Amino acid sequence: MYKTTKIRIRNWGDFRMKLFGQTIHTLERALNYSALRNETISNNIANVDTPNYKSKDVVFKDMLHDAMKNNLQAKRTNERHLPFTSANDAFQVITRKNTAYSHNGNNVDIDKEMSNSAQNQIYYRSMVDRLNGKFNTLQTVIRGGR
Amino acid sequence: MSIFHGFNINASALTAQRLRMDVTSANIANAHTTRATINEDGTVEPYRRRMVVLQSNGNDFKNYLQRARFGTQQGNNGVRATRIIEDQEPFKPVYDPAHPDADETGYVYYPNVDPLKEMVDMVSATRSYEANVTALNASKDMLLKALEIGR
Amino acid sequence: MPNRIETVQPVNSLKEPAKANSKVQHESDISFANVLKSALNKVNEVELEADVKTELLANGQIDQLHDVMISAQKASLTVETAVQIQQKVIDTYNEIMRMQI
Repeated sequence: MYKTTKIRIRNWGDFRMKLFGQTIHTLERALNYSALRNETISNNIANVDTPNYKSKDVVFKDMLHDAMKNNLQAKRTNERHLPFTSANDAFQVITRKNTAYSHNGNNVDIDKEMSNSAQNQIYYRSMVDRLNGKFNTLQTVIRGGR
Repeated sequence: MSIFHGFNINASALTAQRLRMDVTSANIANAHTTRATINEDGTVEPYRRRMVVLQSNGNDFKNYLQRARFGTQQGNNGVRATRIIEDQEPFKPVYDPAHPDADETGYVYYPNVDPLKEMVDMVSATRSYEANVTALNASKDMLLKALEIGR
Repeated sequence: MPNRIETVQPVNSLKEPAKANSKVQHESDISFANVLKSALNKVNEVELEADVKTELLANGQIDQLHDVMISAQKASLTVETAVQIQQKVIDTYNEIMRMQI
């Protein structure tokens, strides 16, 4: 005579655990930041001779002291007008206004930009390496060591 | 805006710097051209020094609207040579009555090209060109590294 | 030593099993098959997302390359997880069926 056992699961929420945890999410965000920074640096280098061009940089939003800059809402006379919202990223592009200008109003420091570019490259490569490491670990675990 | 957006930014700068270089070469080549333009009344004008006006891309209405609507960082679009204008500095008069282009007072007007200034511009254009090539290589390196995710 | 008469416990405890039984009835609606189905749908979604991003990349409409690569890798890992779990479940089932009662 077979005896049936009923397996009772207390909390179904446990089954929805995350496969890709916080670190991988952080690494993704870091890659986005680094890619945007590379683009900004490229733009600065491209505009090294443009008159009245002010160099730009990418910073994390929580480092910005001027909180009003982020929360500026456009006054809309009709609710159906498009709002001026900024993206939901944690970083944004800012303009450096407080550095010295050359005679044509351009404040791009080419040496600083080259140095930033090299730094950013290394940062990007290291993020990709860490990401690969995490994925490989996950893969090893999933395969059960085989 | 594709994955090669960074390349396009630097490529635009390479084009602009090359144009600057070409204009500088033209200026140097025509540094002694006394007969560049012939007016309707028969008088001749010497060559006027040319300059390139550079402007950063992404400052038109379409980009501003897109930035406001989506908050995307559309401000990075490289550089563009908008105009080639002529330098309005006065010509350099040289007293030479025997010259065929001398006017009544015996002065020949030479172009307002200063070779030293052109050399400085040339070096500046070359340096900017090289810097942009380095930046392009940096973008390429990053893309190649991104391809290695998961290898 | 006099025996101490212990106070009679109230009969509340008798009510617990009845409640527990009704809970079991309710939870069996959320059966293992449904959980498996939703999990497989999730795996399918992740794989589809990676496919869509790859197509956009081929058409030149993607902004960041690392985005596509990460999605592809995540899809690959998720599918592999699902396959391994399926393997384990089958093994467990076979194990249980082999049990001699």
